[in-house]
Amino acid sequence: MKTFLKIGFVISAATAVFLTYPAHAIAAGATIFLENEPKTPVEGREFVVRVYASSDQPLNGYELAVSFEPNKLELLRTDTARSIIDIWPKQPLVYASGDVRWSGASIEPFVGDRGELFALHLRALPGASTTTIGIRRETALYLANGKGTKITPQAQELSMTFVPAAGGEEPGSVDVPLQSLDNAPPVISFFALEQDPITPGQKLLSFQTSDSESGIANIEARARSWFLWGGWWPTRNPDALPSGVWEAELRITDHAGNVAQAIIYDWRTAGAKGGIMFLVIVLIVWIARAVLVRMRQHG
Amino acid sequence: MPRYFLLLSLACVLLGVSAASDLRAAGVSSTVITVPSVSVVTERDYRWYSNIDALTPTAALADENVSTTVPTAGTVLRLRANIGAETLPLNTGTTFSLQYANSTSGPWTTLSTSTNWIFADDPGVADGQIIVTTVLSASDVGESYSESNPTAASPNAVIAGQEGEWDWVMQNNTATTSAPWFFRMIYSSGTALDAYTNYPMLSAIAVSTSTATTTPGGGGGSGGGTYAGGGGFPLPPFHIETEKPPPTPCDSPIVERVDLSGDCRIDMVDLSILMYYYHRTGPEIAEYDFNENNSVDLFDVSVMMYYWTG
Repeated sequence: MKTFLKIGFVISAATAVFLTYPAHAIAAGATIFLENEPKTPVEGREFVVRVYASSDQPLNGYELAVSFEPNKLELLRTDTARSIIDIWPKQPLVYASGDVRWSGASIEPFVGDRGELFALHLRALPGASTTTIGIRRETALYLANGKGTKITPQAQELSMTFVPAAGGEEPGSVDVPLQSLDNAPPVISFFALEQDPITPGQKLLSFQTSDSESGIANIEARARSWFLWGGWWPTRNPDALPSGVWEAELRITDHAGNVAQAIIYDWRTAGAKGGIMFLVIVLIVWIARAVLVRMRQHG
Repeated sequence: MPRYFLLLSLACVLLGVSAASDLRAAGVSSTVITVPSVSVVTERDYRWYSNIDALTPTAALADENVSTTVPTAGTVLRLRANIGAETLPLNTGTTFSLQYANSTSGPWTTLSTSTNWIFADDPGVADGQIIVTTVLSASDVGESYSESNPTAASPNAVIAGQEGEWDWVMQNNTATTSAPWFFRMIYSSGTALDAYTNYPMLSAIAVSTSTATTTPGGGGGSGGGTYAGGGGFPLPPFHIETEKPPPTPCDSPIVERVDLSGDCRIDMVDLSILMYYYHRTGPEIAEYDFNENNSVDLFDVSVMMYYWTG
């Protein structure tokens, strides 16, 4: 009898917990999971942990929070080369506690299995034999339904064991030589220099870049408002520029050192400034001619 | 003699041609008139519920397809209504809006932020959440919970012959209780559905045309608003005046322009909404087309990212 009562209590408690759980936290069919590459990482060497999503509903927004053990792992870099995410509003936030937070959106809604979101390039610190990488509860996905409905996916953490480096091997040598395979420059798929429609008096430099091999390492821009170029500065999409800029140049470098460059003009500003420059040149020529004539008359 | 042969041959040829043409006429050729299949979409059943901060309402206010009385201003209700598809399935990705009227013949008004009926917010349920449990007896598939117009793009197809269920959370803003109210779902484009079997209805609270029992020279009277008894002079028309909720503008007009979800933040919800309208054109994307080039493109995405508040 007592056993029945216990079972009944457990079922009732589970039902109560299920019913009181916030509805938005239940998202059947959406999962975030991790996979490491290689499967048996070597202590002291670089390895990759890829963050994947699976969903039976179309998704277009991804808010990701992954945590690793900072006393066991060193984060070398993040990688979006194979990501289904096209738009990254911010750079990833990496906390000393080992949390990595990143959010982005995909132009094409994603439905299906194993959509890669991003990858972490990590290295096991000396003495680390096992570790666990988790997905934090802040992780959320957004349905591509026109309302941005936030859902909480089921999360699967990843545990791994490191094999000791063989004697004589150099610690820190790279096990995943992605960079050496990449000969293609990054792709600049969109580049615009337009008036900011929200704030008058500034322009927005807007661009979309990707590199499916080693990933984007560095983005720089320079601009000119009159004759001379300004210096290169590190930039990210979007960047605000003074409204007087009429030409801008973008320089993208991937992790393998391949470079892509593109130039864009704002022809309306260029036309106006060209007219002013032409008038200035005409004025200078006219003054110079007048001075010469007067010098001849007096000379 | 040769003439007869010639005439006979000619007759045979003519007979042959005629027979051949008759054969062709009596053959397999036929004219096929194609009539395009039309999907008939009908709003069918409904049920009113008390609001609850959960995806599935539990406390019904009346039976299925039975009206309940108009609640007082400020009251939040839940409406579960289903739509049936005939002939052809109702595909995923369809969006609907909710309208109300005092009569089924209209005029119909689309719920917005300052109409007699407005939407409400249940903090524990996300707008657009997919219905897990249907509550109407004839529903076959759950669609979405909606706190705003239009609905989320329908997550599940409604197969021909089946019914999909939607959930609406609405509040009496300034709607009088002395008149009936009817509700209907329409396509978000503004087109009405093909048919309406039942219009979700809220019945007027009956106002008796009674007189106040006055006590000459005594207290009470008709001014207090409590009427009892029968006979006497008619009451003035029943009228409720309620204060409209104050608008809650965002601190910054910039945020107000770029914030698409109305929560005064520019975050992933807004980016997800913007991406849904990506590469679309037409009048319905005006809200999302920041640079007004009649297309939601990467520049609009960049504008949102520039003003990102997170």
